[in-house]
Amino acid sequence: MSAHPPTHAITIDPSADAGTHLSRPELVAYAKGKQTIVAVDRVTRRYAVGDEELWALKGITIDIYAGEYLSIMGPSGSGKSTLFNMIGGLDMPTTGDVSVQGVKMKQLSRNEQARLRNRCIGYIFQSYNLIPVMTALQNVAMPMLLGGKSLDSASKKAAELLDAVGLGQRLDHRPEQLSGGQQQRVAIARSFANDPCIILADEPTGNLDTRTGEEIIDRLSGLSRERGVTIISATHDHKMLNVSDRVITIRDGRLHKVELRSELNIQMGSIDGQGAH
Amino acid sequence: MSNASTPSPTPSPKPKLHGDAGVQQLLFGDKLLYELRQGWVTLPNRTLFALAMGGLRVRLMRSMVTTLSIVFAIAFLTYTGLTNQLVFNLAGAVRLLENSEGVPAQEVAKAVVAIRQADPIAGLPVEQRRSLAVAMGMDDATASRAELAKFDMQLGRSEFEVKSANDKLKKLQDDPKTIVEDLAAARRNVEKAKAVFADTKQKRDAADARVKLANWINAPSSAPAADTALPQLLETALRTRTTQLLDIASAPGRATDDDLADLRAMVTAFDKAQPVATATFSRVLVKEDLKRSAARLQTMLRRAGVNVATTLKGDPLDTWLIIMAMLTCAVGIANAMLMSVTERFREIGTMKCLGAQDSLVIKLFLLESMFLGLAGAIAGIVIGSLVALVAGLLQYNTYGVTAFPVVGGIKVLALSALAGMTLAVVGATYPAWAASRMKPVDALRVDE
Repeated sequence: MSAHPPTHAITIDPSADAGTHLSRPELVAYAKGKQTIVAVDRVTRRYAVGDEELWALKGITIDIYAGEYLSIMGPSGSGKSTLFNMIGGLDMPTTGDVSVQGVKMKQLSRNEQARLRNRCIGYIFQSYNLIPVMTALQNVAMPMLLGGKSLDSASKKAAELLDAVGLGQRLDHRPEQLSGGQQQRVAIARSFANDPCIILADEPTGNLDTRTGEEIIDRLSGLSRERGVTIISATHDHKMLNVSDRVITIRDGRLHKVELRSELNIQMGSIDGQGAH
Repeated sequence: MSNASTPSPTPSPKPKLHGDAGVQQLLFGDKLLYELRQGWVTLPNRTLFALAMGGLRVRLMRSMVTTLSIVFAIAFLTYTGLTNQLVFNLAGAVRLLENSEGVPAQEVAKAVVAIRQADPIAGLPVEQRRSLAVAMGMDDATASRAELAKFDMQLGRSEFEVKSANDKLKKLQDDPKTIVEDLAAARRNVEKAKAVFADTKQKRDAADARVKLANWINAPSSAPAADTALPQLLETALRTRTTQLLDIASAPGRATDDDLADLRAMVTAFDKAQPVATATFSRVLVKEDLKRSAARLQTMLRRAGVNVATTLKGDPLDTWLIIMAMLTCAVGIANAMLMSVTERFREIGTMKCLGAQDSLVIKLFLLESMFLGLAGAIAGIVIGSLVALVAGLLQYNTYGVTAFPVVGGIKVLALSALAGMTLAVVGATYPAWAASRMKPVDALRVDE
């Protein structure tokens, strides 16, 4: 929508696209009556690469609503992952701010950020990121232990969660003894451990074959509907777009496009084609 | 379909991911902030231990390799410490014995006179005489028997010489042309041969008596009942030996080990009759034993390259060696822990993602290292103590065991254990700190 600034721009205007996410009447109507759970406010992120500076994000503004299923699209290098890390509190913006449930990340200390991540956000990664030395049960119990739950109650709940993702028979298996799909299911169980309001899923199907991927997507979207959990997912996978309520596209560190599911044409060739060259 | 999601959760009959309350109540704004600022729930120790131990158990091989450097350093520390203590003890003993006074000569002389006058042998019943003889080695006939054989041979030769000297004399006497001088010389020769014969005979008889005596001591019933000479023989032998021993007691420095053993036997036998005098001799014996021990010990110490004087002052070389070993060990642990941190970047990142606080990461790494330190210290102490004990035994014989430091040793062991733990913790401090300061995003980016 907006003009692309020159790549080596030294100065950027973080507010340039501030209105994009509400730029059309359909989007305004979608937002109406919804509670903002994550607010990304004119966020920029600059990296110093040697002498050059590189703006991974050039000013992104978007509200994410409670209970929605949001997909973030974008070719690699677009700043998608960076935005993702900002939302999850894994990285801090250079300028601008991210609020999660009305709390500005920047006002939190390192420990408070850790606690926010523990309480409010569940993470699912492309490469599962299970802790290799721990069993499935221990992996799922981990966030609860970090939140101060006792070993016994955490183990009990972890077993229930694993049962719910269909791994009730593999509590004591370590990650290397599980298939990719099973590992990702453990990761899903783990992301739900502390009953968070937000699940961040970074290409959760990226390392999985189509069928397993679908299964994972079904589980995630089902949970989103069932529990009213906000799911934010970065993806290339058009199956994930199918179940998304809203899809945003990042390009060159800016918010390029916001689409509602009703507007999405499910011919994925066009969406993929827009990105990488 | 576009509005399928709503903020309010709808219950489902399917297996639920949420066991009880479901999604937590949506805290917002200041309320959430307040919650977050309430401070962290500290993890229960049990959970912390479980986390740290779990990692160690699974990475058993690496943990053991890391521990090895601690084991070696602590074994060295323990060995050096214990050996130093041992040598110190031994050197102290040598110095003490060298400086100790002997029993005053007057006292010994008095005791000698007392025994001589009292003649305690006379008061000893036969049975006790015999056991004293056994204690003095008179029951061993082997040497006497060999002597007897030798003297028998000499006696034969001597007899022949007497005979030939007699023959020569007779020939000269029968010859009228013999001059007086020759005759006198031949006579002298005969006398001489006779004297040699008598002497040899006496020696031979003495040996024979000793053999007989030994046989009788061994089996008194085997001797002919009529042989009343044997008890007499025994008494004489004992008296002779006692006289010799009294001389030895006056100058014990030149006595052989056998002499000292006999003296000890005599002291035991006369103890009842002459308690005062034997007490003096006991003290003489003890002092002499100590003096000899000191001399032996000093030889051993010299052979082991220990200088008594410098040891008692404290050897700076060992201190340096220990410091070097400790430094090497600390660097080794730091290196191993750094490797461990690098190896686990993703794990740390994941933990931080899941809400691990910086302090927890530090605690986990320090705890892990402390376990390693403790295990290494225990193994090191056991190995070091064993090596020190064996080395002490090899170098200083039984003195290595009797003088083995117990009180000082406990101090050394405690110090070693403390050193092991400290080393492990110090070595892990920087890696743990570095791990805790990592941004989760950096930790996760590794190898992607």
